[in-house]
Amino acid sequence: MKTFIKYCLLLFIANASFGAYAQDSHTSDTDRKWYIPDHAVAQFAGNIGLISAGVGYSYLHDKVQTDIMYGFVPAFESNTSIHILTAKTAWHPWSVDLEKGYLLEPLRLGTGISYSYGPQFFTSLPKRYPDKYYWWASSLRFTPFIGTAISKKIGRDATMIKRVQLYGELGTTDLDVVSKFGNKHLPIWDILNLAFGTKFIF
Amino acid sequence: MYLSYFRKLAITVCLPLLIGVSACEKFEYSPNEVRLDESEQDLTRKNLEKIQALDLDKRTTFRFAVISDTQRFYDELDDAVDALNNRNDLDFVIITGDITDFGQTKEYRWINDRMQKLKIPFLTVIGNHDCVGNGKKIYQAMYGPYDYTMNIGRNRFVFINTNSLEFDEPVPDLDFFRKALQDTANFDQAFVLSHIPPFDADFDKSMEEEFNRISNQSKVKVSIHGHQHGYREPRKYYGDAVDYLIVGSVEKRGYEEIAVTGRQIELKRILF
Repeated sequence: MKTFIKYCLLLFIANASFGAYAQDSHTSDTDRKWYIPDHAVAQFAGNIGLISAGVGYSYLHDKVQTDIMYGFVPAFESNTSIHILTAKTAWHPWSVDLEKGYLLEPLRLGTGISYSYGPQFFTSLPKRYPDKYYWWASSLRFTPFIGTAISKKIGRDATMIKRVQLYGELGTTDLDVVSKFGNKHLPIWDILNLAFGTKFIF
Repeated sequence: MYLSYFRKLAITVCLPLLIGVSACEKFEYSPNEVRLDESEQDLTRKNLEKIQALDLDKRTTFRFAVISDTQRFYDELDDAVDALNNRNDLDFVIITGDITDFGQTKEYRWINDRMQKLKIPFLTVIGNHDCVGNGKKIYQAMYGPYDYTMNIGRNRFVFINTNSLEFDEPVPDLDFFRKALQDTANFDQAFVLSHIPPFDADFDKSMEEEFNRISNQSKVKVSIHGHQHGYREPRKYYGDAVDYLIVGSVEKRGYEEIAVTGRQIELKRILF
């Protein structure tokens, strides 16, 4: 176990000092204009919509990605659907170059900040309430997660989409974490949720 | 050879399928989604039917318990359910609001999953915390209407939404309240159950007097509430015929036991 941790630490330091070694795979070092997205993304679940989709950017030697996504939740047992805007940032300390164009990101850590649109949600407490009546903003949620991703190089270098990535996430929300405090009878599993998605890397 | 083939099949087909099916509810679309299983819907109607089926009007005495403000007190609620189940002499349970803390689907589910372990039916009224975000919609889908009544023999129970700050329309709905209690020939005594008591600052002050007048003139004997987390024993708050009781949060590890024998009402605070 100790050797494993040492190995991981070494790998991490090597990565951090030499920067990304899989330069072909990701996109922050291309000469395309800064505002052109580096990838498109679509996700299933994860408390940011049944389906959410958007575009994103890659930076800090392709170690960090930020996605801007719109998500949709059908009305189900009510009469109104939910529209959610999310900014999602993830960091992966290591990339492992596998054979045949496969690239594994064994660990991804990140969080989304999502905004749910609608008159039933408040960002600052409406005036009708006494001060600090509710301490949280019902429109804003933090959705921290831990995940993993694998991508494959496709096409030639000239094609628009150069890689396709699949990712999975195990996440929670800020209020779920708050709910867990002081409740031994609330299993950790109850405050966790699963999501998966795909990225088309330009 | 065959064994390895079946093993491969099991691993590649059955295992992911099993994980997929068991993990279905692990895919969450929003903390505010109103997505409920059929068994989690329309609970007030279902429980009213269960209570009617008990034929409590044919009994000399029936007993019920009231708990309140279960919001985020899962450990305490588990203990409350155990304590209530160990009684064996209770007929139903009522939660007087603030079932959840953030009005989120999962909280509603976490509370309901625990309440489903009760051997007896339970009813609810909506609390102010249950209204936050999509909470009102989740409450309506899971439990039903905010305002409703129940009869047990010559006893009338009125469940009413008194969360004035959470609604654009006037709350409590005094028209409903009046109608729910106007046929005084049909009952000997009445119980009012709501989250916010009329004397609380969060109750619409312009309605306090009328609300109490209706209660006092319509045979209401006990008005039962939550919101204030500390227990407050029954007291004639306005000097009229109505006793007002604050059940206190389940966090305080107590519930109110109410025994009704004809016109005799016995109130008891039980700690667990």
